[in-house]
Amino acid sequence: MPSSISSSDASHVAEAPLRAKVPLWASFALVGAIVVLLVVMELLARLMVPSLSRIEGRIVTEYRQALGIRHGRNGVATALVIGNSLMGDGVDFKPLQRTLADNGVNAQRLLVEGTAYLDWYHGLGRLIDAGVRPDAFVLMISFEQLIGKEFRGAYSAHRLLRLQDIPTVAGELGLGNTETSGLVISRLSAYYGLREELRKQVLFKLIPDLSTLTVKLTAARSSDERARYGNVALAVERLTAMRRRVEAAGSRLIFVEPPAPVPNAAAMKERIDAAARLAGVRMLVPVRHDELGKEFYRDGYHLNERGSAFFTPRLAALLSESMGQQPPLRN
Amino acid sequence: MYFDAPIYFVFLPIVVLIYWQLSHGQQNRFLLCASYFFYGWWDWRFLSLILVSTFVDYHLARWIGATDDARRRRRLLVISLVMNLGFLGFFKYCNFFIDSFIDLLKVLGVDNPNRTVISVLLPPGISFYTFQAVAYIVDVYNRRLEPSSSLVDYALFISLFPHLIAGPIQRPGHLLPQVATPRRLDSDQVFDGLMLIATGLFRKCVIADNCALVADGVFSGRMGDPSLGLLLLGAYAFALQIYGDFSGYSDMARGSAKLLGFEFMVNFRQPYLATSLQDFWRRWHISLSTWLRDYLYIALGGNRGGRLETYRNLMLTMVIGGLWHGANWTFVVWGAIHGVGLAIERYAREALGLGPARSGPADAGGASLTSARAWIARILVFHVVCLAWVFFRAMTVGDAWHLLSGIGTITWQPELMVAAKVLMLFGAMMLAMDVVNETRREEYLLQHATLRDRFATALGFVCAVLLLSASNINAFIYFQF
Repeated sequence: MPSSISSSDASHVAEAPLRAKVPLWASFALVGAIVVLLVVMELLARLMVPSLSRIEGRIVTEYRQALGIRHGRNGVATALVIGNSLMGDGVDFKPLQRTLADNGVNAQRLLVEGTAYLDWYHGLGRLIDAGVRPDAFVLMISFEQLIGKEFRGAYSAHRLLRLQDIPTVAGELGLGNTETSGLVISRLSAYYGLREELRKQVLFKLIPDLSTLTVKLTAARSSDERARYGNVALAVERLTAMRRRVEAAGSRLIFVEPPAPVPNAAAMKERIDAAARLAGVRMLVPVRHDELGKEFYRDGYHLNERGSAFFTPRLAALLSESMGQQPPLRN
Repeated sequence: MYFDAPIYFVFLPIVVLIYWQLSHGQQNRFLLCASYFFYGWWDWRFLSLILVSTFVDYHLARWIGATDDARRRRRLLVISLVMNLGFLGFFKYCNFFIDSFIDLLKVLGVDNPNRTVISVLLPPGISFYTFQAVAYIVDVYNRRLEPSSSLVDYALFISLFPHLIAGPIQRPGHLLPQVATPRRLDSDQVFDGLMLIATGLFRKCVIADNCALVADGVFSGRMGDPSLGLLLLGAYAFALQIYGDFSGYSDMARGSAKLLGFEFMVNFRQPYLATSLQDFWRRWHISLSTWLRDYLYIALGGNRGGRLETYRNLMLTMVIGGLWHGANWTFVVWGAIHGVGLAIERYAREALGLGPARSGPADAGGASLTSARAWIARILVFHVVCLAWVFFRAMTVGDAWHLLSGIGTITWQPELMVAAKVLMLFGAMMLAMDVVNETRREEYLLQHATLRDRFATALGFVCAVLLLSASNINAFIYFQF
């Protein structure tokens, strides 16, 4: 306890053994070596991360494929299906792609885990700026993620945002200058933007069964988010903003609501319908929230293989019909 | 800006490079501007508060120093204390006292008392710079210190950016002379500064932030219902997190100061190797514990009265120390646990006729690292400290009790073993560093080794930070205090 601390300073500091004076160049050399390490990490992040991580490799490939999508011709429509792990787990994409192709729709996917409205609203801006022009952007995130404040941070800043989006995102999230500057650096530096992915890879090498823990933490968090009730006005505002953004590029927006066990499925359905109607967005609800039991979910939130097998054909049918119904807008 | 944010590593080199090109007077003015920029980076509106209190305290101290009239001196001291503690009280405790008063009314049977909500933002670092200002004015009042003759020097003493947000709380007698006299560029000091920054980054970004994942999972309830395993994991994880976080911050603060030619006091010395609570408080947040001793405990009478007065003073000091951390009953309970523990320890020592608690490395009179008895004491003290951390980390006292209620429940979940592996990995790194520092009596790992070894150590830390730094959402815990 403080009562008997003998001195406020240096009571335990050892008498330093005599050591040779460190020349000033050693400090410059250390800083230089650290700068070299940073450059190496930046190069590694740009060149190696996609091959180190299966997920990153898939995202990079899908992003490249997405960049080539243009409006359909000769009776073939195009669609870019975007979303997060709810889409990744809930939709078996190959069969969906085949069914859509049989119905004259060429569909590509861009799946980025851990994303929500803010990531995709701005992500759409970057995709459109890069020349991506499908006839329809099909966004699959939950209604709660549509109205929430979730944002994947540095990763999204690097992969999905444009530099000019960062002040807007910072404003919406109420970020301070430090966090905002972090997003700017994430946008510019592959290492800083992807360092959490890098860390995951290293940690998974050190602790191979780490996923047991991370799945538990993220699944429980997702359930908490699910329990919240929606804000229709905000959903309308956000859907409208996204619709305007894609319509300005001559595309249209289709919103797909994935199923999840929510406390009041009927009320949720009402909210979703109302928001879509008011925003003028086509909303697809292939499976009602109360339609599937626990056995269709992997963790109470994401669909398992059985759930995906149930959900995918329904989505394929609705999406085929929806793509055929409305001709795409053109500028 | 946070010390582990990339923007800080843009700010710091620019400041250091310009700083060493200037004369002493220019250095102080430049550093003051840089420090206000650093502070205003959060919210420029808070600058007005620090400017007002700096200006008023500077002049009050001058007037106290210039007069021998005891009543006038006392009156000026009271004005300063009321202003400083008033600011601190308003910004930090306003809502806490309103809430507690309303809770009391409810207990007394007053239904639905009308509550006026005041949304008060806490200015960063107010607890730290207020204590520094109080120390200055009290030292001037007690004639232990001459009042500063330069407003810029005094303002820099209060606002120097490495200590401004979360300490270490600098004593005026230690820092003011360094501000007032010219600094010289010392290549040893610069290298030590870089080493401390690398060490601090490692402690914060690698150890603290990774352990935070487990601690947050347990304390948020996402890891499941309370059980003994969960309680131990949560307490250990938070013990590692807060130590890595705050000692890492302190290392970076000291390292940054060294790059500017300043020496700050050591704030941590292997606290989890303490063999008694008294020893723990000689090693943990030393700048606060010594401040509380010198300006509160001794002012209350210290151990000059009888045994009961001493215990009372111990309890009061620790509870107020707890409340200093924030406006929450959890901090009061945390302080009370330490206060009771210290009192029991003191009583036991007196009853058994033992001398004061030993501290420091074995060759400095402390307990040996090879003694089994000392390790039993260390483990016991660590668990008392962990018990207190449960309250410190929980959002409410009820949450802490909820987690503690699992102490008699033994259940098994596979993810507990994975969480334990995470803690073992990062805890082992921390323990190894502390044991080496304790054995070699060093302030950072391999401080007294060859240049080549230190160089390699720094690069090792930086590599670990680059590969294992966790999410960017864990701000330093003590920034909120």
